[in-house]
Amino acid sequence: MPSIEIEQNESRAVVTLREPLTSALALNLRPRLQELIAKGATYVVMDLSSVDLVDSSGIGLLIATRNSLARVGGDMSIVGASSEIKQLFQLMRLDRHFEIGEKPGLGSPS
Amino acid sequence: MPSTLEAIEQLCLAARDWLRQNGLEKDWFAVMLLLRESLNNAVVHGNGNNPALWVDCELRRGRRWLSISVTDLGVGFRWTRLRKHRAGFEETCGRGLEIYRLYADEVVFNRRGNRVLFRRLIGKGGEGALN
Repeated sequence: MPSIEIEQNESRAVVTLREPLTSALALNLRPRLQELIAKGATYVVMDLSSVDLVDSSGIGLLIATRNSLARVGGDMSIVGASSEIKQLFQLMRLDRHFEIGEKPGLGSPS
Repeated sequence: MPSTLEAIEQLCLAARDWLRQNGLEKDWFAVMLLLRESLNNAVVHGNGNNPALWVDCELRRGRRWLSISVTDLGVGFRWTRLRKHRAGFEETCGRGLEIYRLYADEVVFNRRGNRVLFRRLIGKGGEGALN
């Protein structure tokens, strides 16, 4: 299975990761996300159900993506994060800026 | 290890096995996070991604404490200035040192700033803590 899977349906995209979101994956993921936004995605759901670790490089990429989406009037949500990753996001104050849901789909706007 | 991202991945795989062999599975999230952050800083900022420059890394288990030390060959940095640094939300970098403070019980830099030593109480689980 690929470590990055992207499904795009018009302006909405779901990005599923299957490796730790650390510097090595962030390097490959960054251009894919830039391309996604260039192709018109404005709402991105990041599915971390299969991710057991996120480091500061991964956090930086999530924030950069959220900043890019905000510039085009969009947003990003995170789903499926483990309890440890959720706590890391809380400690790093990301939960004030991202919607962090339980399962894919819950983070989508109504 | 050489200063490459591939070497970080290999070392982290070996560290994961070491944690398992030493009965430290409960602590793996915090330990792996500290290890990755410090190795990444050593490779990227310390040794400037130069594979010819090596990074030394040591993990030790005591009775109550686990320690990680990472040393690079760079010029170091003025860690005293960044001791309490917190990145603003829109900033996309500069969170590594905050992660050190949150997930280690003790963080010690050498004077030059090219070596960091973490100590963490064994059995605390993956949690960080607000200091």
